[in-house]
Amino acid sequence: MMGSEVGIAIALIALLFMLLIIGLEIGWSVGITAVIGLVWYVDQPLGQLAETAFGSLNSFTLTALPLFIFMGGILGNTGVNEKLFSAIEKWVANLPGGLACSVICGNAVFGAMCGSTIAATATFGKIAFPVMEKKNYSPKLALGAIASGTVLAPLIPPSILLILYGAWQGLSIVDLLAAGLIPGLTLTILFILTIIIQVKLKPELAPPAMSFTMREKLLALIDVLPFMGVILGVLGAIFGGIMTPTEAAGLGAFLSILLTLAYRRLTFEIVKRSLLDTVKITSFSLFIMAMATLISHVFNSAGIIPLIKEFIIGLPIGKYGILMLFFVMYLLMGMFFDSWSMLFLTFPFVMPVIVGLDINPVWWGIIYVMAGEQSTITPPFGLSLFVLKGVVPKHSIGTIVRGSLPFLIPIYINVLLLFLFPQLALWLPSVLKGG
Amino acid sequence: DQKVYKLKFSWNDIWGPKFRASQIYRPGGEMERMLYERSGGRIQLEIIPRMFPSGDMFTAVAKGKADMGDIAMPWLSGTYPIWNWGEIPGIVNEDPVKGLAEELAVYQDPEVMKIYDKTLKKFGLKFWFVTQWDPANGIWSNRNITTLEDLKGMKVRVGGYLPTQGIKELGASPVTIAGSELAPAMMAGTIDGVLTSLGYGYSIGLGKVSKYFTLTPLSPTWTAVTLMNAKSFEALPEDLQKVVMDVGRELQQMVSLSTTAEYVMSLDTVDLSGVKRTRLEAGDAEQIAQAAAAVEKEWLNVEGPWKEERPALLKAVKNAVQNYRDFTGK
Amino acid sequence: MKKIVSIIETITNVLSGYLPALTVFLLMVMVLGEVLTRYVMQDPLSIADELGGFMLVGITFIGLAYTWKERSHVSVEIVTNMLSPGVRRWLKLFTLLLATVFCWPLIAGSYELLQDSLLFGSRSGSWMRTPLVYPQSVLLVGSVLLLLQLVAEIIKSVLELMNTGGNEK
Ligand code: NA
Ligand code: NA
Repeated sequence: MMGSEVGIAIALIALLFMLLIIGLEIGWSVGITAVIGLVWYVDQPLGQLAETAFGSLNSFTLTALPLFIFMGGILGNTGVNEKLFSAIEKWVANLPGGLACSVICGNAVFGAMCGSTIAATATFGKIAFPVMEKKNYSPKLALGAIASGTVLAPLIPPSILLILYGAWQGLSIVDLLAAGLIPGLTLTILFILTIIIQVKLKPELAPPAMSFTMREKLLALIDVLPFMGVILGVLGAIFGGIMTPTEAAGLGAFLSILLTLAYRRLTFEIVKRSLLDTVKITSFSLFIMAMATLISHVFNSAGIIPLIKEFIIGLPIGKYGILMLFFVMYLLMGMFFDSWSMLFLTFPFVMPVIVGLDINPVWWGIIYVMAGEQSTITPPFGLSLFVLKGVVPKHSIGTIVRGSLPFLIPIYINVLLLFLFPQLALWLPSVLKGG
Repeated sequence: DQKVYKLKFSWNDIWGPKFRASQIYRPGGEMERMLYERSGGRIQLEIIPRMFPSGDMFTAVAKGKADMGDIAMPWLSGTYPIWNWGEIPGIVNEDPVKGLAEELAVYQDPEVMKIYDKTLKKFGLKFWFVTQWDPANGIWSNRNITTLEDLKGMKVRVGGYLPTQGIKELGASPVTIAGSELAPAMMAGTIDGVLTSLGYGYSIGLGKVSKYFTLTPLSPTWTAVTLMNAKSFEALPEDLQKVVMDVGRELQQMVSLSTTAEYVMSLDTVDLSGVKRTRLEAGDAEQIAQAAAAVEKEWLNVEGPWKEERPALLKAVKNAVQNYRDFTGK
Repeated sequence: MKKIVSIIETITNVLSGYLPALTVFLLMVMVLGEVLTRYVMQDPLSIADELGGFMLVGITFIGLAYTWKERSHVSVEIVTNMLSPGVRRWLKLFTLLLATVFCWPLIAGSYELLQDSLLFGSRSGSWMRTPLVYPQSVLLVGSVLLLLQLVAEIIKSVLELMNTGGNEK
């Protein structure tokens, strides 16, 4: 009896694995596996496929996703990042490896505007790298900073990854977004320290630091003030509880349109392209989510998920051992998948374990961001690596990888900090709820 | 006949493990154990948590995708108004302890059950037992609401079709926002109040952001029913059918007692937390009665399944309550 | 053949691309309207919560075909990239056929869901009481649009195979 269930589980997972390997789109790989399980093993009608899809997507909370993507698209398409980068440069250029530090800070701020890793990598590759190259930065350090800085975007609110996780698993989006803020800031600092240490050890990596006058600094600040206004408006509306994240996303998109209109950067073409991009990202990701919900339903109905859960919880390695195990699993999976796909593929199995171990799901969400996002800079498949290679074709993937790997250390330190001090993530959400 | 009947029970644990009553459903809990023991091991329950989203559970059991399921009727009040008469104000006593007892009497009334059996049968379902929860009949807010005038224009978060109508009738503006963000929304003033129950509201942190809990006559009961797929039930031999129904009645009693006890205990918890419990003054009684009548009319007339059967059910329910009051002399 | 592909892709662009894109914009407007009526007029519309969810289902499912046409559905390419271009093309056709076969459960399942919703008279639980048949029909429409686009993709893929003889670049 138990044996047959294990057999079913193994057969289905093997099928899924095979479909993925031959290059069938992830949503379809999951969907086909789920439907075979639904009809053959669980013996339920096909209508369940549509019912699950409708049920899992019919969520107002989740509509924050397209609205934030649209907002990021408008801002990303209108060149605000150039302003941002040049303003930040004025303030941090006096640090060792100042431009690389600017890229990190720029990512932190850009991360606050939009949740898209790809957009951040592409823009910083386009605008920051040529400047750094001209100023004799080592390509390794420059590209490493650009590729790794993108890990900040899904930590610092708003975060599309956290919205996907929260809406899917029925958690409070406000809690999750608030939980990401402080770990996002500590990681920013750790990244900057990583650059400073590298430059101190090998001064030839970067030119001597520059400094700017206060007047230049203030002028630059005024230049980006309106963008800061949008960020603070959106985050304030969410954390102040004035608006739901979805409403704040709508407001953010609207303000972005107004702002780019005021700068005379907005064209109909940009709006159209941003909207179509939004459709593509929403459709591809939420279709995978719907199919992942179905596979979770199938495995649950067949009694497989409780088996897996009991097996993992029964491992003699303790709670932290299991979390370590997950972390290593994501490191390995990250060689082939991006953080969104890993979320959808693994959480039907991982979440019951997390809940069973009585681990705070908000804290786990923040840990996952780092577990999942490390994949963007690890070879052979790393989203940031590939995007950056596309923008800066004359440098090899190898150079980008060698530049990025040192930045894994601050990510792991940040994870360790969160294990030691869970309050780094959980304090702000608890304050927002009135202590 | 020593055949073993395996039944799949789809369980969503809507109220979470804090509530004693939800414990009867858990794997190894009373429901599974009593069925197993009373049937001499011939009924084996497989309890599957989160097999279907709560909104889909009704059709899932109706179609036999699961043999049984716990279904939160208030969530379906817009879809199947008939089984949600409990949200009509004024039928049972607005005091939760009395209201719960009266409601339980209704679900034990043969006339009422006859209509339940008939109407559910059309969907391929069989009534098993009722799970009574802490009724959603109070407004958590920072305003001391003593008259309907205080309620005017307040943005009150409401769930469900009939309470939304009711809160409108009382002069407030209903707001629909996601349940997970209620406490922050209260704190920021996005909403001025939340209509929900004492225990549930406290459990999601409304006690920290409200000064008052005002008892209102809306949504006097908040009830889930546990339904069976009619075919799965009929496939059981007669002696096992009887076992199932007997166990259902016992569980029903058990849940009612523990919900009542929990409600009484939560009064102390809420009082100790500094939230003041208030109620509307008697002066508005007539207007409140009008609002209740309007909700009842809405329930009778809203388009949906079994519109023609609703007057009969309403009459039977009211009779059952009256019989209970006569019997207890209250 | 090329004509058929071009007709299908026009349909895909308009119905599966521009229409959901417009929906995203309307979603933004509606959400802002909700905020406005709540704060400025003190009388919230209370429609965004329900319609927003329906619109999201629409954007996702109606957008499937366009997203496919734009090659934006993610897949694992690291393994197939190691194969020769010829083998890769055949494999591409094979996965395309698999995806097309999957349209059957999508279409049949959506149709079944609509029938159930009609049978049970399913409506949303909110005060709007929307008959669920309407928002659920986007699943069926989206799946049919996807099927059309996949047919176009197969034609393109076969034409490419014929032109290259399935071999060199
Ligand atoms: Na972000
Ligand atoms: Na990787």
